[in-house]
Amino acid sequence: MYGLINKAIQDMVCARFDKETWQTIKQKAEIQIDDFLRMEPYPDDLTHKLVKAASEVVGLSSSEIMQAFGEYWIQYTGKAGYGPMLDMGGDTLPEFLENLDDLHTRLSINFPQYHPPSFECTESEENTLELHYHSSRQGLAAMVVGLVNGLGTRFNTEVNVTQTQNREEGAAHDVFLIEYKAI
Amino acid sequence: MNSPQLSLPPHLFAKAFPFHIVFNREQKIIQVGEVLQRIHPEPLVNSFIDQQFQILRPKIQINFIAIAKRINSLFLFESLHNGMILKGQMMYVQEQDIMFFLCSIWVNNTETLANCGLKLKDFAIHDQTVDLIFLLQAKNTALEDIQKLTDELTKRQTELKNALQVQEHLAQTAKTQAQQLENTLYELQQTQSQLIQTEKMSSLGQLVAGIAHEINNPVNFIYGNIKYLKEYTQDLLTLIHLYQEFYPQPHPQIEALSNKNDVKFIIDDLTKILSSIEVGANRIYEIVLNLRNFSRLDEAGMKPVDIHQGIDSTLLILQHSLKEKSDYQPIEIIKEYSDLPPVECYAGQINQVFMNILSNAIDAIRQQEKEQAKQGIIKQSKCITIRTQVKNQRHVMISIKDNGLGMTEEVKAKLFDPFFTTKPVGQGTGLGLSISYQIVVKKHGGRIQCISAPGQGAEFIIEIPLRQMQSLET
Repeated sequence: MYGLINKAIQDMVCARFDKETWQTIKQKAEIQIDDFLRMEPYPDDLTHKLVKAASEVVGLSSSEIMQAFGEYWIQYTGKAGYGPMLDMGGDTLPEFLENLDDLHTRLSINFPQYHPPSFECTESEENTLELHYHSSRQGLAAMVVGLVNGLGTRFNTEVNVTQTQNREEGAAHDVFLIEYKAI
Repeated sequence: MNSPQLSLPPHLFAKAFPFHIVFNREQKIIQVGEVLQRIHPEPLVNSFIDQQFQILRPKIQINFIAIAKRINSLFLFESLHNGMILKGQMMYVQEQDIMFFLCSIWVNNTETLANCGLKLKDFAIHDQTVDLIFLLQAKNTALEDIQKLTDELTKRQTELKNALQVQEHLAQTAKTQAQQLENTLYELQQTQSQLIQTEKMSSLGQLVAGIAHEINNPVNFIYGNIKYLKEYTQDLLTLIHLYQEFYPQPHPQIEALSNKNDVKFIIDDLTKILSSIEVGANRIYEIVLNLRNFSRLDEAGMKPVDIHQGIDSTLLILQHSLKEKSDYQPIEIIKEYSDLPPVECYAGQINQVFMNILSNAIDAIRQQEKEQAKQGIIKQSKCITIRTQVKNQRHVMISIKDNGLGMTEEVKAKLFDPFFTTKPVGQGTGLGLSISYQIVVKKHGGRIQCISAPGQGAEFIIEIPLRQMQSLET
C-alpha cells in the first residue's frame, strides 16, 4: 500500500490520541521508519502490523480501528490536497459512490502498485443503495463502512450502513446496504 | 488512409467532446460543447470567437485562414473572460467550410478545477485531463514529502554541525587543559629539580665557603709570617757566620753539637725549606681564593665576572678527578681561551654549569676507559678542550669538548630533561644538565647545545649574552 495510508493512520492516532501513543504503536509493530513517504509503496504487511499494534495499544478491535480509519480517510485525503478530486467525484453521496469505481480506476492508472479495490453501486429503492465491494486484500470491509460514514459527513447526509454479504463468512464479495437521507 | 465508414451521431459526439467549439469562416461560433458552455462566463454560440478567446499557441491571430494554415498544430486558447485555457486540435470540414476545435480544459493546478466547478462526469471518459490532475496532485504530494525530508535533513545537518562544533570546542578545551596540565607538570618538575640542585649546590657552596674561610685565617698566619721567618732566619744565619768567622775555634761542646746536628747541612737546607714553605703557603692561599671564587656565596646579584676565572676555579675543585689513578690516565685540560670582556651573569650559577658539564665530561672519559679496559683496547690520551670566544660582540661562547664515550641521538633528545640520566642508580640525579639548561637559557637568556655521536666524544656549547636585559627571569 502507498505511504499515504500509513501516514493517514499516523495522523489519526496523533489526532485522536497523541504522539507518544503513535511511538508506542510503532515500537510495538517494530517499525523503524520515522516518516512515511506518501507516494512510496510499502508492504501491506507493514500496514497490518500497524493496525494490529494500534488495536492492542488503544484497546479497540481491528475492525473498530479500520472503521474509524475509513471515516478519517475522507477527512485526511481532503486535507492532503485531494479535496478538489473528491469534489470532482460528485455533489451528493449517491453521485460520489457512483463515481467511486472510476476514481479508483484512474488512481490505478497513475499508481501501478496501488491495486485498488473495485466498487459497484446500485440503487435498490429510493434513498437506499447497494454497494458491492471487491478487494484483493482481506479484512478491510470495516474500512468501507467507515468510508461511507465519512462521505455522509462530507455530503451532510445521514447514513446507515449495514453489511449484507460478508466475504469472511463465505460470500463471493462484501455487499453493504446504505440508507441515506440528506440533512 | 482508409476513411471510416461510420461516424458518431451528434449526441455521442457531444459526449465525446464536451468542450468542443465549432466556428465558421466569419469566425462566428456556431456550436459549443455542453460543459464548455456551462463553465464559460459568457454565452458562446453566435458570438465571434475572437471576442471570447485569444490564441496562446501557435503564435497567430484568430483568423480562419491563419488557423487553417496551422491546422496540424497543437492549439492553446485562453478565455478573455476568465483565463480558462483550452487545449486541442483544429479539424477543418471542407463541405461546410467550418472549423472544429476539439479540445479539453487544460489545468495545471487543482484549484482551477474547483473554480470551474468541474466534476468527473464532465469529462469524456477517454479524456486524460483528469488523470493528469491526479498525477499532478501525486507529484505535489511527493514534492511536499521531499521538501519535508529536505527540511528535516537540513535541520539535522545544522544540529550535527552544532554538535560537531561543541565537540570540537570540548576537544579543544580538553587539549588546552591537557597542555596546561603538561606545562604545570613540567614546571613542577623544573621547580623540583631546581630545588634539589640548588640545595645540593648551596650545601656544596656553603661547605666550600666554610672550608675556605676556616683555612684562610691559619693560612694568613703562615703566609704573613713567612716573610719575617725568612728575615729572622737570615739574621740568625748571618750571626752564625759571624761567629764562625770571629771564633774559628769554637768550644768543643759547641763543635760536638754542631757536628752532631750537621749545622752546615741545616744552614744549606733551611733556606730551601723556607722557600718550600713559602711555595706551599702560596698554593694554599691560591686554593682558598679559588674555593671562595667557586662558591661565590658572597655574590648574590648579577655582576660582570671573569668567565675564565670561573672555569679555572671549577677545574681546581675537580683537580683530583683529572689526575692519573691506578685504572685511569690523567686527563689533559687544553685551554684555548680568547680575550673575553667581563660577562654579566650570576657567577655562582655559571660556575655550577661549568661544574656539571666538566663533571659529565670526566665521567664520560672514565666510563670509556672502563669499557676500553674490559675490551683490552689500548688506552688513548684523554683530554678536555675548553675554548672561549666572543661572538658578534654580543655573546660569549664557551665550548667544553671531551673525547669520551659520546652519546646516541636518543640520549641527546632527552639530555636536558629533568631526572634523565645514563649513570648507574645512585651515581647521577639526572638534574645537572636540566639545571644547566635552566641557568643558561632561562636565567641568562643564552643557549646551550650538545654536539655528540657515539664514540666521538661530546661538545657542549654555551652562549651567554655579554650584557643582560632587565626582563630576564631572576
